[in-house]
This record gives sequence, structure tokens and C-alpha cells, in this order.
Amino acid sequence: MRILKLELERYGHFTGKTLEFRSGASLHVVYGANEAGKTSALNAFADLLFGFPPRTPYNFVHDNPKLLLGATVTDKDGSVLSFKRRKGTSKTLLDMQGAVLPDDALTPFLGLIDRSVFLNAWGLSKESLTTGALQMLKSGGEAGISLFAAASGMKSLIEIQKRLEMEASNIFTPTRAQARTFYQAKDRFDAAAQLVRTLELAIRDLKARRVAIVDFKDELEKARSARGDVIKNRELLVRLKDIGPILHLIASDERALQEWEHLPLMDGSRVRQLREVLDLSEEGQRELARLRREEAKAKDLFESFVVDNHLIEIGPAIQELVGELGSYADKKKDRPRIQGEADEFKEKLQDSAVRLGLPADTELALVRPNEMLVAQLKEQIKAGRSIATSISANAKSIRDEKVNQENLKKQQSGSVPVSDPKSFHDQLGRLMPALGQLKEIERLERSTAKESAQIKEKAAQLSPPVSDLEALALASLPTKDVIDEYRLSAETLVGERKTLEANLGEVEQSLPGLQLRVDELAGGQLASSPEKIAAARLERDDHWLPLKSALLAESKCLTTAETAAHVIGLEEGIGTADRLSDDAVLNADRLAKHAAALKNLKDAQAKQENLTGLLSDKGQAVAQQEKEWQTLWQPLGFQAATPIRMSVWVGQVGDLLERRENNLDELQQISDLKIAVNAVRSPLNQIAQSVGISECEALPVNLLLAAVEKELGLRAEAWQKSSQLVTRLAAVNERIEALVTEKDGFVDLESAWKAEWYEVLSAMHLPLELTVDGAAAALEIWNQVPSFLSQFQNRTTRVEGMDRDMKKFQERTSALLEQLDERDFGLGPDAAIKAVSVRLNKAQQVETQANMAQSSFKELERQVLQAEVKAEEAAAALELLCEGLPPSSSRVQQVLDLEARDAVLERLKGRRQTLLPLSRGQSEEDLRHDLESFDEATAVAEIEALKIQEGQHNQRENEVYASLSKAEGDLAKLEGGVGAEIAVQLRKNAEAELIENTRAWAVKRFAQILLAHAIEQHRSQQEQPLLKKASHLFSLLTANSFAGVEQELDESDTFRLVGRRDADHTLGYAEMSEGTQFQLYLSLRLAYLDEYAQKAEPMPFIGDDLLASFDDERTRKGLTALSEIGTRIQPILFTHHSKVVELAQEELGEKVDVINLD
Amino acid sequence: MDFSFLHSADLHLGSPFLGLSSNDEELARRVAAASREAFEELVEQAIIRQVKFVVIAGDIYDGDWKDTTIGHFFNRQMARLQRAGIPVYKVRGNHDAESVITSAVTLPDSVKVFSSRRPETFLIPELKVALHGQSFANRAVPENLALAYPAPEAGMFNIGVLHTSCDGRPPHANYAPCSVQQLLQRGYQYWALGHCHEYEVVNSAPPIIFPGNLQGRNIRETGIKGAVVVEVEDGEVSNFSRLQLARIQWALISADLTGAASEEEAFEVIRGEIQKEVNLAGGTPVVFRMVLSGSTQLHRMLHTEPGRVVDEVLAAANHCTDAIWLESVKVQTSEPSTASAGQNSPLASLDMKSMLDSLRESPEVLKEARAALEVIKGKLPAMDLPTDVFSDESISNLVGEARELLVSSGLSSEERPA
Repeated sequence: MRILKLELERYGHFTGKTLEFRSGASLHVVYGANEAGKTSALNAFADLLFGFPPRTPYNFVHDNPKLLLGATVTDKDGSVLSFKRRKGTSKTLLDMQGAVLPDDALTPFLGLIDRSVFLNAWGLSKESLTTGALQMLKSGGEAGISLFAAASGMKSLIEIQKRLEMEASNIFTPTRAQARTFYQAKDRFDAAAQLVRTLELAIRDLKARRVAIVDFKDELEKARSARGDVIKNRELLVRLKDIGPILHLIASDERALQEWEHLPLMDGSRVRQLREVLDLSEEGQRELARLRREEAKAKDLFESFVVDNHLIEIGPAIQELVGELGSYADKKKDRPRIQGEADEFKEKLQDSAVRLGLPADTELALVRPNEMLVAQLKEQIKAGRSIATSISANAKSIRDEKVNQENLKKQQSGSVPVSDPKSFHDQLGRLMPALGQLKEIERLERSTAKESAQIKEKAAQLSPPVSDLEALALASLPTKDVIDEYRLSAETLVGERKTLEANLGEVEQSLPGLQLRVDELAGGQLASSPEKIAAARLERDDHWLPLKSALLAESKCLTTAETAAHVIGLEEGIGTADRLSDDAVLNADRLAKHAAALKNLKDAQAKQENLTGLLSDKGQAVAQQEKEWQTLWQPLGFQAATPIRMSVWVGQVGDLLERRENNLDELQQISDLKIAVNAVRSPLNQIAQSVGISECEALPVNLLLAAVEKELGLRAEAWQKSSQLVTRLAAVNERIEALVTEKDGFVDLESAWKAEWYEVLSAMHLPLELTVDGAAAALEIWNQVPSFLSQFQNRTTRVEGMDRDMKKFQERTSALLEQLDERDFGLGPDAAIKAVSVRLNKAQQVETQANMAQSSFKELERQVLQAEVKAEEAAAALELLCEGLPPSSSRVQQVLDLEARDAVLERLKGRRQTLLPLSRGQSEEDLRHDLESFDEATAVAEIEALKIQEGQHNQRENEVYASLSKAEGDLAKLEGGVGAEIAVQLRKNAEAELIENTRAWAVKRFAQILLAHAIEQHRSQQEQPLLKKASHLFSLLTANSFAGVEQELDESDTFRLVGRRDADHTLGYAEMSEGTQFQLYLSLRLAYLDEYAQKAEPMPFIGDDLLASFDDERTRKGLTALSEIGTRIQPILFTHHSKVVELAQEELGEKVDVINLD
Repeated sequence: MDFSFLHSADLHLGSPFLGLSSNDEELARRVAAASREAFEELVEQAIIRQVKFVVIAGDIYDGDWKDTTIGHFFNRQMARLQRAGIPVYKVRGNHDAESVITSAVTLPDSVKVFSSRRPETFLIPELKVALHGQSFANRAVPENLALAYPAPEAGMFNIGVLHTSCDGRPPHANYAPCSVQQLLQRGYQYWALGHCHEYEVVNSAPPIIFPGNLQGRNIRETGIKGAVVVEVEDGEVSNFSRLQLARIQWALISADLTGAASEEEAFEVIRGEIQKEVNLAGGTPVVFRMVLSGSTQLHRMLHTEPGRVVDEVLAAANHCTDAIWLESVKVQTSEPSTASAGQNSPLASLDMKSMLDSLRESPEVLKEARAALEVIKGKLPAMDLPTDVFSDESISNLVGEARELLVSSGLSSEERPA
């Protein structure tokens, strides 16, 4: 495929850029100073042919949906396709009219090549060339890798090989190592398998465990039985040891019983009854004696008391008077105070009568007015007061309003008459739309003045400065395009001049060296030179040719002298030429080098001359360009700065001119507004004159307007005040009139009230001249009179009651004293009663004590009788119970004996009961028999021994029980648990892990195997004719320093690439210079592509600054090599070095197509 | 009388999970207990639902017991059912055939085992139910057992219990084969089948049902696993429904990464697919295999960084739920618009893919690969190797994977000419 046209419609920073690729050219050189643009264009090829990737960096100007590329391509057969490519997920291929093309429309042009193959194999940059060459070096020029890497453009085969090897060995190596994941999984498998075996073994042992449990149970039973025997023996010994003392005590008791054999047998209850009766009898005798003593004492006491019976008889009367003593004393104390209060109220009543205008001794209760009359008086007082208040208020209001009326009248008579200014206001209102613009005019005048000053200031600050912007506004300035054109042209010229200067400097620097080399090779001894030999041969031929013509009779015969001269000349000529030739042969090598050096020197000198000429031309061109630049600005009258500066300057001037234009517009606006204002001046003057503003013609409009507005304001205020005064006076007059009418009403009301007033006063016995307030005071006194009357009555009654009660008490006291033949000795009835009362209390106490002593004596008499009866009954009962007992003086001793015998019998019974559980059914006789052979001392030792034995049996029993429990627990666990299932699961997991590791390792290992085979197969297939083609290109690129490229087997039987110098010499890849290595890599790559092109549809070959690391000579060769494949492949070389362009043009002439990207 | 019963089969108690290349002991513990727990749940459900009886259509055990632990476990569960008054009717299948299971634990009287010598019928008069069945005598039973099953008991609800591959259910072995027609001809009201591990309603009226196994044990046994509850009204099946009992659910999750331009996009797609499966599992813990397919720019990364891919997939899974484990990740993606030219194409010189394609079937390569594989095979411990690991086909596939790896590794070094 060849590309004829690439359209960067919207891509990266390109918009509407088209690159035309001339058909027939064997190399396209795309030159672009701007590297970013170059990179964009390069990537555009891949995006165009294979579609945009989902994410693209080339959307920084145009959004993704707008990105668009276009191209016209042709294939080997001459088919041509024009298409466009947009960014998207589908239907991205379009024809030139924008219709969708099928996705496979490009297939005939692309073959099977995909994006990655295109980028790897058909693209080559300076960097990838370096990396590729380095890759070959790393492999030591190993043929397989080198060929494959060069062919495919892949640069990391060795790294891939190493990585695969490392990754595989991380998983597995035949030699065991713990770090390998395979062996880690294997360890887990072994551990799990071991666990499974252990658990299965344990589980398989279930039967044995069950048997063991039965054995443990048997053993436990035996241990328990043995312990039982020991316990039995020990218990027997302990029992015998305990029984001995008991039997001994029993025998002792039996012996004691023999003492009471003379007493009849008697059961315990009868003995206890006997004891009770005996105790009762003795107790009765003791009680009788005691009671008799008490009786005698009581009698003596009773007889010792003397009682005052007369006083006690009249005791109740005395008590009654004593009870009234408190009341008598109170009355005696309160009477004077109550009498005082009665007198006080009496005085108050007399005072009230006097205050009401009645005689002091008037019985007020008789002349008291009734409630109705009092209410009537209250009403009249209230009405009278209300009428008086109203009359007073009315009079005050009339006075106030009259004062007000006078004041208003005074104001009215003092003010100047005024007129309504409304008509002037209306006239001025009609002028206001125009006059309102005065403020806008002021604002605009301020802003335009400020803007003018700023523009002027900014213009002066420009570089170069502008003093007269007005003049500049009229002048014609160069456009930005023109300036940019000059800028680009100047930059180009200066750049070219710099390049020429650098090249000239380089050449001039090389000249002394070249001259030195020529001089060295000439060495001052070089007799021969091709020129000299040629000259000698010419001279020889000058003699030979005449001789030859003469000898061959082609010319006239020579004279002898002539012949001799020619012969001599010929001999000398031959001799000289031969000598020079011999000399040349002897110094051939030096001669050749001298010739080459001389040629180089001459070439350099020619180049110097050429460059000097070119530099001079370029200098003139720069000067000319500068002159033209200044000429451009001449009409403006100042020296122009650089195009870049002037480009900025033009922009700034443009801004200022725009501001100036805007300012002029505003000035025009001011002028228009002023005309509108002046149009209303005349009517304004008329208004001013009408309102009395003098000399209005002389005032400016704004001041005049202010004066008119002020005057009208004053007039409006005065007019408003005058109107308000009239209104207020009318209102006052109205109010006075109303008040006078009201006053008449009040006089009538007062007359009616007075008639009623006199009636009420007379009914109340009050004087008719009494005022309202006086009547109110009388009413107040009458209000208090009932209370005074009531209080006076109350106190008088209480004093009378007191006197009556006190007299009665005194009479009763006197009567009582008479009865007792006593007198009061002038102490008063109350003291006398108190004395009698004390005597009475004492008599009553004596009487009480005598009564109590008598009761005690009577009670003791009764108790003595009872005790005598009881003692007799007890003695009889005792005798009855003692029936059957031998006669005895002491029944008490007999009872004591009987009781002692019963106690022994009871104890004996207890002992036998203690013995009973110990005897285990044996009789006392048998036990005594057993004990005869029992030795307690030995038994104690034996018991201790048996205790030890029991402990041993117990321990054994516990041990067996523990084993049994564990065995049963284990069994339950095994039967109830999940057995070895977890371990089996772990083993299965480890198996899966091992298989996973195996697979993963196999993939890595197989990849190594595949790669090795691929490389080897590739190498073996590519020997011919590829190496032949590569040899040709290598020879071309190295200017025949190498004859070609070959494969050689090294000592390890590995094929390696070598460069052939001549028939006998080869040079290994590693021994080549870096530049030569690059050339070899390039040769191989181009050879592959050329080879491919012969078999299938090739792609254009894109070189990106491919030759940047080559010197000029190598660059020339590189360009030639690229051109060489250009008949089958379209080589496109991107570069930003103008030198490459020059060299291409020099080297290839018409064959190269230079495309300028900028 | 209206009643319900439970139909289950293929408990495979004591059988480990396969293909879990995890060394997570907690996971091992869970999966080892999963089959038992699922069966405990079945018993629990039978008691809660007060079913009248339970039918187990074979393969209670995975094979002969190495110990009686499993027998005791089963016995304990049967005893629970007995205490709840629920009898159990079971046949032996190929995995627990009479000759296969040599040990024994005495089961409660309420467990009735069908004879392996001839078809046997158990009657439940109070329910008017007759159960007909025959156990496997040996691991392989090539005969059609169904043919000899007795005629239905008149006026009763007849259930046929049979461990069978029916008319063929690969990959399950073809045992006790029979046709659906033959089963229908028996005239039973319900056929309780076992052997096939997938739930399948072979016939709906009358129902002929494979309940599937109780607990999936490998990546081929995905989805819901459990038993079937059958409700009977007036002597006919009125309804049947599935009961999810598995403690762990296996899931094969595929994510099509076609068009995924970034890793974020890809793992979002993956997370979405996992979430769907987690939702379907409804809270049951999941063990899953992730299969990544489709044509994507990420093809190279997915092949060259398997460790990271596994980590990311696990992370995506754990974003969905805690109760999830990864069995493996299978990368089956392709590069967008890859073309291969073959050995004779001139492209073979330029394109490693073409070159490698030409070598995939090379006898030398395969021979060398097999020799390499023998080395690691020799280091494997004695274990049950899946039959396909060292087969020619497997080697060929692994070479294919190696080719993908190379293509992915080799082309990643250079993308643009500039």
C-alpha cells in the first residue's frame, strides 16, 4: 500500500492540513520543525489505518467526536481508495462524501497486518533502532534472536526469555526448594495426608476402644469390691473397739441396781407421781406458815388508821365550789375593764348626736333615718357632684377654645396673601424629560475626559511610543499576517545563516588538518605523482607519435636529425615515465592516500568557498529583508522593532484605537444631549421670570433649573400653610358654639336636682343650707351610729351578769363555812374555800389507806383457810401412794431411792441402744465372748493398715474411672465428630493446588520451548534470500566497508551474525562499532520488509528521525538504502533536521519528495 | 388424607469438595462440614414442616466408610426423625450399594431400606401410601430395575423410589436405565428418583423428579441444591417445591469484558456479575469460578499478571459479600481484531503470533513439552490425578495458553513508533 495523500482534518493541533505524497518518489522526507506536529502526523498513520484507540491524546483541540482523518491510498495493483476515519466504536470508516464504508474496506490494502504489527515492524525510530541494535548486542549477535528481533521489531526477546525462566522457577524446579510454590503445596499435601492417616488409624481403632472400655469397667468393679472388703474388716475392728467400753458400763449399772432390791418394783410413772405428791405436800406446809405470818401483820396495820368522816361527807360540796374558783377570779378581774368600754361607747353616741346637730342626750336609736332615705341621699350626692363637675369642665373648654380662637385670628391677620404654584409645577414637569439629561451629560463628560487622558498615557508607554494616536488612526498599519510573514521569513533566514555559519566553521576547522594530512603524505620526497607520470607519458608520446607515423608511413618521412632527436626524446620520455611509474608503484599506497587526502582538501576548500559565497548571499538576504521590514514602517515615521515585538505593538495600538473610537462615540453622545437641553431653555426662562427670578438669562441651565425648583418649593410650602390656618379657625368656631349649647343644658339639670335635694335633707332632719359635702359627712356619721349603739348595749349587759354570778358564789361559801363551824377570817370566799379543800384532801387520803389495809387483812384470812385444807389433802394423797412400800419414817428418802433406781435403769437402756447398731444382732453374751479375744492395741494398728489399703484401692479406682471416662469420651467424639473429613478436604485442596501449580509451571515452561522453536525456525528459514538482500544493503550502508552479512557457527555451535570484510575476514557483531551495529540492524529490517513486499501487500515504512544518530556520510548512505527499497515499499522519513533534507536532495535529487509539515 | 413428604437423594456424606486450590483451613473446615450440615438442615426442615415421611433415593454415602463415624452421624439424624415420628424410606444407590458399604450401624426401626434382591413395597395404611423400591446390590447395575416394580396398590398413593440414570444423564454413569414411558406405565402417583445431581422435573403429571444432590461438591455442581417437598391432597400430588439446603453454593460466573477499555471498567463488570450471583444465592455462602471472556484491550494484562487478576477478582467479590471464596479464575479473553496468518504467510516473519501459531501443533514442540511435563509429574505425590491433566489434549491446550502468554508478553514492549 502506498499513501498518496494524508488529510489531517481535525487531529491534534492540526486543522485542515493536507500532506501530499508525490507518486514516483522513492523516498518521502516529511520535514517539520515542530516536533509535536511531527509526532501527531506519525500517529495519525496508525489511527487512520486501524482506527482510533478508545483513549487518544490527540483530542486537545478537537473533541473526540470531531476528530477526523482522511487519506487516499493505492495498492500494488493500482487500486485507489479515498476515505475518511472518524473516532468512534463502530462505522468509523467513511467515504469522501461521509457515507459509511464497510469495516473491511481497507483489508485489501492492509493484508493481515494489524495495528501492533504495523507499529512494531513498519515503524522505526532513532530510539527503537538503538534499542534493537542493543538487543542484538545483548544476545551476542545470536543469529536467531537477532533475525527475529530485527524482523518483527520486537526488542525484548531476551527479557521475555529470562522472565519466563524466573517465573517458572518460582513455581517449580526439579531440585526441591522451599521457596517454590509447588513444593509448598506438596508439603501441605503431605501434612494433610499424614493427618488423614493418623485420624483414620484412630477411627479404625474404634473396636479396640470399645473392648478397652469393657475392660476398664471390669477393673473398676474389681477395685470397688476390694475396697469394700477392706472397709468391712476395718469397720469390724472399729466396732469391737467401740463396743468394749459400753459393755463395761452396762455391767457397772447392773451392779448398782442390786442396792435397791428391797424396794418393790414400781413403774416410772408411779415414781414420778409419788415425787410430785411429795413435793406438793411439802410446798403446802411451807405456804400455810407464810400466810399466817402475813395475816397478823395486816391486822396490825388496819387497826392503826383514824378517819375524819364528817369532812368527807360534805366533800362533794367543797369540790363544786373549788371547781368554780377560776370563773369567780376571772369575773372579779374583768368587770372594771368591761364597765370602761360601756362608758366609752356611751360617749361616742353623745358625740355623734352633737355632730348631727342634735342635743347630746338625744336617743339616736329613735331618730335614726331608714335605709331608703339613706340611699336617696347617696343618689342625690352623686348626681349633685356629677352636675357640678360637668358645669366646671364645660366652662373650662369654652375658655380654652376662645383663647385658641384669638390666637388663630391673630395669625391670619399677620400673614401675607399667597397664590397656588401648581401651574408652574406642571409647566416645569413638561420640561423635565429634557432637563433630566443634565446629570448624564455631567457623567459622560467626566468619563470621556478620564479615558482620553488614559489613552494618551498608554500610547506614550508603548514601545515604540505613540505621541500622536490621531495621526496613527488615520495611517495604515501592516496587518498581523504581514508581520507574521516577515517574522517567519526572518527566522528562516537567520536560521539558515546560522546553519551556514556552523557548516563553514566546521569546514574551516577541518582545513588545517586536511592540509597537514596532504603535506604528511607528500613528505617532500614524493617524486612521482599521477600528474607527473601523465606529463612524462605525454612528453614520451610527443616523441613516439611522429616516429610511429613515420614508421607506418602515415606521414612524411623524418629527417635523420629529427629521427635522432625523437629517438632520444623517446628514450628519455620512456625512461622518465618508467622511473616515475616505478616510483609510483613503490609508493602506490602513499600515493593513493595522498591523492585522496588532496581530493578531500580540495573538496573542503571548494566547500569553504561555496559556503562563504552562500553565507555572503544569506547575509545580503538578511540585510535586504531588514531593509524591507523598515520600509514597511517608514510611512509611520519611526524605527520598527523586531517582528515579534511589532506584532504585539500592533495588537496594543489596535486596542488603544478601539478605546479612542469608543470615547469619540461618547463625546458625540454628550453633544446630542446638550442640543436637547438647550431646546427647552426658553420656556424655562419664562417660568423663572414668572416666579420672580431676576437675570435668569445669564444663569446656566442647570443653575437656573435649581433656582426655579427651589422657588417653587418655597411657594408650595407657603400655600399649604395658609390653607391649613383657615381650616383650623373654622373648626374652633364650631366647637365654641357647641360648648355654649351644652352649658344651657347643665343649668336646667341643676335646677331639677336642687328641688329633690331639699326634700331629702328635710326628711333626714338636716339643715337645708347643707352642701353636698356636708350631707356626705352627715351620712358618714349616721353610718357609724348603729355600731356604737350595739357595742354600748353589749358591754352594759355583760357587767350586770358578772355582778350576779359573784354574789351567788359568796353566798354558797358562807353557808359551807357555817357547816364546818369555820370563818373566813376576812380572806374572802375564794381563800376560805381553798383552805377547806386542802383539809378535805388529807382526810380522803387517810380514808383510802385504811380501806386498803382492811382489804389485805380480809384476803389473807381467806388464803390461810384455803392452805390448811390443801395441806391436809396432800398428806392423805401421799399416804395413799406409798401403799406397798415398807413403812418408813422418811417417805422422802424412799422416794429418792426409787428415783435413783429409775435413773440407772434409764441409763442402762440408753447404753444398750448405743450398743444395738454396733452389735449387728449379736447378743451381749456373744459380744462379751468376742471381746475376750480382742486386743485393742493391736486393733488400732490394724485399723491404720486397713485405712492405707482402702486409700490405695480408692486411687486405683479413680485411675480406672478416669481412663474409662476418657475412653468413653474419645469414642463418643469419634462416633459423633466429623472424623477425618477436614483433613481429607485439606488434602484435596492441596491436590488441587499441586495441579494448579503444575499447569501454571507448564504454561511458563512451554512458552520457553515455543519461543526457542520460533526463533530457531525463523532463523533457519531466513538464510536465503534474506541474508543476500541484507548483505547488499549492509554493503551499501557501510560504503562497501563490509561485503555482506553472514551466519557463522561459534564454538558452542550457535549461529551468530557476522559482517564479512573480505574473502578471509569477518567481524563479529560485538566487535563492530556502534554506528555499524545500527547499520546492520537497519539492513536486516529493511531486507525483511523488502522481502515481505515481494510476497504480499506492504505497508508504508515510517521512519522517525531514523538517521539522527548517523553522521552525514552514513546519513547519505541511509537515505540511499531507504530509496533503494522505495521501488517496492513506500518509505516515509520524518525529520526535523534540515540537514537531512539537504542531504536527501543532494543524494537523491528528483527521487526524493520533500514535504513541509509546517 | 392430605399430607406432605420430603424427597431427597445423593447426600454423598463424607465426600470432600474438589478443585479448591486454597490453603485456607477455615474454608476446608466449612466445606468438610457442609454436606453434614445440609443433611442436618433437611432433618430440621422435615421436623418443622411436620412431613409424614422422608424418601431418600440412594447415595447417602460416597463410598465404603473408612470408619463408622459417618454411619453414626446418619444414625443420629435418623434417630431425631424417629423421635419426631417421621419414618424414612431409602434405597441404596451405586455409591452406597449393598456390596460397597461393608460396615454397618444399626439404624432405628423407623428407617426402612428397600431390598436389593427384588422390588419391595412398604405400606403406610393410615396415609394410604404405598412405596415401591429396590436398592442397588452392586456399584454397577446395568439392568432396568423399573420394569420389575409391582403394580400400584389400588386406592393408595403409590410412590416409586429408584436410583437411576433414567434415559441417560451424562456425565452420570448409566445405571438402572429406563425410559420415562416405562416409569409412567407403572401407574404410580409419584416417582422419587436419585443419581442425577441436577434438579430436574422429568415429568410433571404425575411428577417424576430428580431432586439433585443435597450439597454441590465441585464447580460442575452449581446453583441451588437441596430436596423437594411434595404435598399430597386426595391421593394426588397437589404441589411440589424445592428446598434450598446446601450450606455452600457453587457458582460459575462469566464476565464478558468485550469493549472494556480500562481495568476499572473490567472489574466493575466483574463485580456486577458476582453481585448477581450473590443475590441469587440469597445469603448462602458462595464458592465461585470466574471465567473472563470477550475481546478486550486488557487481554495482555489479564494473561501476564494472573496474581493481580486473582487479587482484584477476590476484592470485587468481597465488595459484594464476606461469605464468598474463589475457586479459580479462567482467562479466555482475546485481543480486539487479532488476525493470524499461519505458517506460510509472509507475515510470519514479522508477527510472533503467526509464527507461534505455526508451532502449536509441531510434534517437536509437543514432544519437548511432554518431556518437560514428565519432570514435574515425577515430583507429584501419589494422589487422585484428574485424568485429563497429562493427556495430549491437555498438553495441546497448555501450549495454546503458553502461546497466549508469549503473545501478551512480547507485544507489550512497544506500542507506537514515535
